Amino acid sequence: MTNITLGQYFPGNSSIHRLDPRTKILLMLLYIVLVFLVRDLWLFLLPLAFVGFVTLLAQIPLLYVLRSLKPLQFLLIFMFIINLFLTAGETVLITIWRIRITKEALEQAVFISSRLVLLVGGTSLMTLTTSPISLTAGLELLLKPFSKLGFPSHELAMMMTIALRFIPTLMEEADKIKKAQLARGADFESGNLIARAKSMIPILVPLFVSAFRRADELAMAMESRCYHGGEGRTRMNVLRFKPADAAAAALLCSLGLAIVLLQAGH
Amino acid sequence: MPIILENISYTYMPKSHMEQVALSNISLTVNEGEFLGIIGHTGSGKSTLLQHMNGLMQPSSGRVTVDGLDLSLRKARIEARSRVGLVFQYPEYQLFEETVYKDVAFGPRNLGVAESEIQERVEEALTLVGLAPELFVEKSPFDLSGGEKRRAALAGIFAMRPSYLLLDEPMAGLDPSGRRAVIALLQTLRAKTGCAIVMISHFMDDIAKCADRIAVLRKGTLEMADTPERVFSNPEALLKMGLDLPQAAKLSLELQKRGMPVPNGIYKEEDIKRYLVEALS
Ligand SMILES: Nc1ncnc2c1ncn2[C@@H]1O[C@H](COP(=O)(O)OP(=O)(O)OP(=O)(O)O)[C@@H](O)[C@H]1O
Ligand SMILES: [Mg+2]
Repeated sequence: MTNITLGQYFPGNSSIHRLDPRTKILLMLLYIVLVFLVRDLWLFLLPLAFVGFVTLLAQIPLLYVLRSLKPLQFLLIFMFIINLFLTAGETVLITIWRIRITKEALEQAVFISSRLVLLVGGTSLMTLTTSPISLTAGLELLLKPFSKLGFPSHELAMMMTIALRFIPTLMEEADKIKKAQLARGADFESGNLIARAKSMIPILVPLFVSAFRRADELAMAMESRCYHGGEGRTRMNVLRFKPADAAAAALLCSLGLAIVLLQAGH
Repeated sequence: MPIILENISYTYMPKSHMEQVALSNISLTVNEGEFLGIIGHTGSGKSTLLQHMNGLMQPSSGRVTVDGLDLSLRKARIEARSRVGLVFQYPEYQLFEETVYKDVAFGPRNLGVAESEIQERVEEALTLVGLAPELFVEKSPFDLSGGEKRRAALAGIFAMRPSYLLLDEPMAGLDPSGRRAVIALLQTLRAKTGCAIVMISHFMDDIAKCADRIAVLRKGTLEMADTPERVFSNPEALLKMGLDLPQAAKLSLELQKRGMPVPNGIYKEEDIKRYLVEALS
């Protein structure tokens, strides 16, 4: 239970880690657009090179980036197979019984899978290099213009921050309570579904009690420090765009331009 | 038969960037009926060690046996949990039932004790911790005071009648009188049932008062496991580990420094009292 790391953040202090979270969020959106712009298979090399370059700069083991693809493995295989068999084409490569695999279908399958891998791998780089807290700070600032229209950007960010802060705590607590009940001979593993659901009561009751207590204490602590919402609130770590942010944006923009120009030439 | 830990090591989150060696190569025996105190600086691995003694955690390497049962086997672990009771820090946070009776009965019921005997055990355990059964059995555990909750939680483990009782800082967060009460009830429990007790505590006086033997942990290694006389006879080593001496030992050291012929090896409050009364009369 304790080995679930939230948002898969990989702590570090590289130039990528230090980028403004707003930059990273916006560039991630740009990156997604860019991957969708690619029409030729070989042009995927550009975003691939970009991902490789960022991984290298961020000093993240390649394994961690690849791990983000793991939850997707079945979807990937499924998409590959669907495209392989269901895409219409002319040039038949192999015929197995009545199923024909065409060159076009193979290309399409590879193309779709590459796109998916690049999308997930690339976007995971952002969550790998940005701590959840600074991510919410970035989101809050990006959404701030909408608060004029009544969108509760600060409240939303505060709720997210608190939730992120307390998820690990509550998981740890659940683990502790589970162990305590195990020590009292509780059995969480045998029996049918209903028996198992029932056996969770000794964990859930203390967990809820403690969650409510914590919420109460936190509310009290916030109030006693005069918290009154987002109006007029300043931050300890003021986010500022730095030259590195401009450089990152320029790099990704030129990559996008390259893709557009190279495809226009075709 | 004892609890035997043989060369156990434990690493939290191995092979990740958060890897943390909590125990390295510890061998320790808990004998039947003894009172073993465990001391050590914060993060030295005391709680981790305790959880290995009833199979809640399994060593990355090494072997644990309880009364000859090898805890690497699932069946043995379940059997061992009926013999080894473990009380975590702040046990009052595990209470969950509607009434104190049901909560204390949870453990024995899980062990398959007959309903008629459960009632007897619950009443006995509640009496032992000083919660009069007739007043408390029907109360909700959430309506008790902090100290009463702690007692109710202890009763929940006592009712399982373990032959070994493991306690992780049972006095944490209690006032001096609450602390004395816990010590007193542990001593009563031991006198009544003869069970072995393993207790982690930061209060050296409490350890000095109760322990037959003390294990000293330092950064995941077992530094010493010896009688209180020997452990407290080396104050420099303890201080270096961020630990302290019991008040009585401190006082006798100070008196020795000032030229009073206090014998070595005094660490209990009543011993220094007796000595002083004799010396001054
Ligand atoms: N769930 C966990 N995940 C990762 N590391 C842990 C976990 N629990 C404990 N540790 C680490 O293992 C080491 C030993 O922890 P342990 O809780 O056994 O110490 P302790 O001696 O009981 O400390 P304390 O006196 O503060 O209770 C510590 O360095 C701690 O950071
Ligand atoms: Mg501890």
